[in-house]
Amino acid sequence: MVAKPGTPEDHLPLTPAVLHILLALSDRKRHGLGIMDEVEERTLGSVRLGPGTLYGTIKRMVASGLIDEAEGRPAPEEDDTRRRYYALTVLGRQVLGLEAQRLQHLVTVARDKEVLR
Amino acid sequence: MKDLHAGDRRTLGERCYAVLLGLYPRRFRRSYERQLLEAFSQRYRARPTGRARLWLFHLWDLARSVPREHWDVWRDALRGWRARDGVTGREWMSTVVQDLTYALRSLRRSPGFMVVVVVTLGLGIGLNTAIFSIVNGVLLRPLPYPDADRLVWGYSTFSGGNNASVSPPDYLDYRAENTVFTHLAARRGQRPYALTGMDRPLQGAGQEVSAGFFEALGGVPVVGRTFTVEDERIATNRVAVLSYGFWQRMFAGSDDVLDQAMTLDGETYHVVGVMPPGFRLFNAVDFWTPIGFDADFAQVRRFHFLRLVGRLRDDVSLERAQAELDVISKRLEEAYPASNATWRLVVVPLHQVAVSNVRPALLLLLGAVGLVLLIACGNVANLLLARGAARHSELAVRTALGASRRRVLRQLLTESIMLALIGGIVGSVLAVVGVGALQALQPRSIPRLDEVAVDGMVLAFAFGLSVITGVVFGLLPSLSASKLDVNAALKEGGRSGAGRGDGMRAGLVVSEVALSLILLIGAGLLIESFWRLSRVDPGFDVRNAVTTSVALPSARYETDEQRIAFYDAVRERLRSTPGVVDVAVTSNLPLGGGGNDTYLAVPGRHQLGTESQFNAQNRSVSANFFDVMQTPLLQGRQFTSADRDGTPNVVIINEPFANTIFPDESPIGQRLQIDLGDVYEAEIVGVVGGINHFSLGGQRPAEFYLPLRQSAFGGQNLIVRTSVDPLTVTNAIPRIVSNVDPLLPVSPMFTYEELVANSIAQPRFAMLILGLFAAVALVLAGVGIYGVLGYYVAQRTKEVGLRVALGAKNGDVLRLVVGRGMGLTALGLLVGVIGAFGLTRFMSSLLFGVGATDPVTFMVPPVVLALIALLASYLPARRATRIAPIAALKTDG
Repeated sequence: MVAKPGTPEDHLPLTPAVLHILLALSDRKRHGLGIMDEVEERTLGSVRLGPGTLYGTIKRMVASGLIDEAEGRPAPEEDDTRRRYYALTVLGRQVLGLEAQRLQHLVTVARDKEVLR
Repeated sequence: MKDLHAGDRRTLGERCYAVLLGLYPRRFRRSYERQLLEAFSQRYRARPTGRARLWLFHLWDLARSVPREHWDVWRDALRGWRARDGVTGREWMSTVVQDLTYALRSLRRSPGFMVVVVVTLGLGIGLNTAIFSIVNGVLLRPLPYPDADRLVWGYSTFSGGNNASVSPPDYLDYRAENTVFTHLAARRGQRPYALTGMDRPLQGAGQEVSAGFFEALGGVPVVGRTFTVEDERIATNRVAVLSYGFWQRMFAGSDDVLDQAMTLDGETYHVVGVMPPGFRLFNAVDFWTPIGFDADFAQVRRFHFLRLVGRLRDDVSLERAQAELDVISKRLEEAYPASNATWRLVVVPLHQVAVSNVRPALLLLLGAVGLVLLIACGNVANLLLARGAARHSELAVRTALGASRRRVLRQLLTESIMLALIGGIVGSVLAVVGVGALQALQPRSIPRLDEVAVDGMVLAFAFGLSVITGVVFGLLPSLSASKLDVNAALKEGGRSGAGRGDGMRAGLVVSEVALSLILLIGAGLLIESFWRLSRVDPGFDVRNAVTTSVALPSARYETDEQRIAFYDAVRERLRSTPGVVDVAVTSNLPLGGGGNDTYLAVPGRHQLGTESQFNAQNRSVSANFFDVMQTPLLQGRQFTSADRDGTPNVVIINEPFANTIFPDESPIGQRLQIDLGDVYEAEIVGVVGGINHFSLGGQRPAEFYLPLRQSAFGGQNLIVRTSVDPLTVTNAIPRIVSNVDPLLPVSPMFTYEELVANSIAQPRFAMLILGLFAAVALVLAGVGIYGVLGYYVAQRTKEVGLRVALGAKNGDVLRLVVGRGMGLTALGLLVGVIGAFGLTRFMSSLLFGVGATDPVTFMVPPVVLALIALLASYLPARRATRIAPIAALKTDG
């Protein structure tokens, strides 16, 4: 696959799936199942990633350089050597930050316009 | 698949999911299959209940992600091809140009091949384009009025029929009370008018219309104005609007035509406007006059003779309009139960009315011509397969020099598409010529034919079809040719061994035979259908009969006596003309289109003005009508000269009438009450045979006849029975008519055979065109078989030579080749019969007197095809027997 170069801004806006995966990986490395669980917990069940969607998105995010297969694994008790772990890349972290800022700006505008109290 | 956790067994659900994972592309599966299954498993095992919802969730996830992953693969493949060829976007364009140039050069080197292919494709694409242009112009394009999709056609339904006209008082009520139309107009059928006051009496076609007619159709006069509601009162002043052509012819297009007077049927009309060129509804007329709603007969709610044209308001749907009209119909039914019980006004899109009767035939032809193109593609594919095999060495060299298989494939496809495009250009030219020829012939069978043109839309269709055709016939041969073993190809030195692509060629021949058979059977059904239709006995003798119409203006022919005197004079003079047997008069010409109907009652059993009354067609005829028409008298007697004004009223009914109303008794002597405005009572004195009045394919309607001398309404059609060829007498008729009344204009005359032929023009057209397609298909299939077998023989020269050297006789060789050809044909015939069985049901609406799976019609075409196949197989077989063994064995390859 052809890698997608370019600035972090090129990746905005993010699709919901990408955003949630980035968020899930922002605090620690996780494997696929772990990402699914974290997203479901965090959103209180309102966002559920199906396996096909999840891994397809992961594949594309790896190709565009937002995440990577992780070096270094968690502590051996929690580890499962057969599972693949993922982590944010520098680019991924930048993109996540930019998207969060974009959303924050939106919320501010909504507050100003009294859409959101 | 390895187990997920050591020692765990997979459940049934997990196994199903694993199978479904097979839907993903291979590469994706390789990377993620284990994780996908694990993700599913974890959820599945954690939830022993509620699994249905889980399945739904995962199925939905599959549905979304599987296509996405496949799409990703394709997109990467496309990018990969460019990357592998080492080119960027712009460079990719130039490789396309390279391909095109190469294709042109390579085609130029084999001109014979190119000509054959281009001609075959040109024929196939040309026929398709021609038919599509007709379909486009007739069915797809909107009618030539502004916002034509807002236009509707209005007619009535009632308990006795569902295609009746509207009565003037009803129309006025609908017009006044509706809120859904911007304009709702009425029109009568057009009729001839006598124009007098010119240097010689002429006949013009005129039509009575209401105010708002022109506005509904969006017509704006070029001079003057159109009709207003005041104009509908004709007692004091009569006005007329002219057509453009009439204005040019009669008034030299002069600007002071307004207020000029014309004498139509003895009445004076003043011109108030002129319409632009080409303005008309269905048929062209010379002028329009307003419907006189103040006339006596227009005040009778029971007389229905109008059809309506309306323009819907922009914000109104057809359904809503129909709903409102139904409300008004109900109100009229309650207010006037005697005349309006069960009557309703129905509106349908105008476009539907204009083309509905020809839609099934055109769609059939569109489908059929597509089959012809497929057969042509089959032939071209075979040619390409042969050519591909011959180019092995060339392609091998290219591959050895570094071209990827994909590049070679693209190259070959480019050649195919280029061939198809050239064929498409040739085909477009053929289509233009064909459509032009068809329009010049002016068959009456296609409405809106003059609106058909090979325009941008049609050319775009031709272009698109050419590209698709190129891919269709080019794909298989290109795939086969590009898949080569370089070493073997180079060693063989250009002549490939027998057996390559034989399967594909055989398959193509089988398909061609099958498709040709389907077309032949379809054509056979239409031919059989048309043959039966033209053999229908219409209930009277159509040979040696001429008919013409006479418009007696009411100004000079006020009384019935005057009209009858006219007919008597004409009849006497015509009968003394050599060759003329007799002359009859009728108010409505059988197979001439149109009719009159009214209500009747048998006193004691039915009551006029109530639901018990029944409906039948009424005719006013001269006493000799049945003799002249050669319609048999079944019971009772005919009219005589004793039946005239002053003697008891008599009526003759026809067989369908008698069978419906008097099924178990003799009608003779019974009385009928007829609604002619006033109640008219008459005694039934005879029963005659039925007549196919409306169409040969339709039912014979119930009709009753009144003698001319007792009720001379209408009475405008003369039927002349001759003892010689009718055309020899046609000069005499106008001469005699103007002898009797010099002021009467001449009407066009038709022989009855012409009239009948016109009435079945459309089935004839469909039959001829489909027959043409079937013939083309037959030729193409025959050529295809011949070509494939010829190639088969050429491939096996060595083998045949060997066999002959070892003692095989001519007969054996013939049997070998012909056997193969007939074997393929037999398979194709089998497939074709099954296919025809399934497909012909779609043409059943076009068939008359023959079922869609008529066994006889299904038996003949296979025999015909088999004979053609036999011939096409025999010729190459004969060539095979001429192979001299030594020469054959010497051939390399």
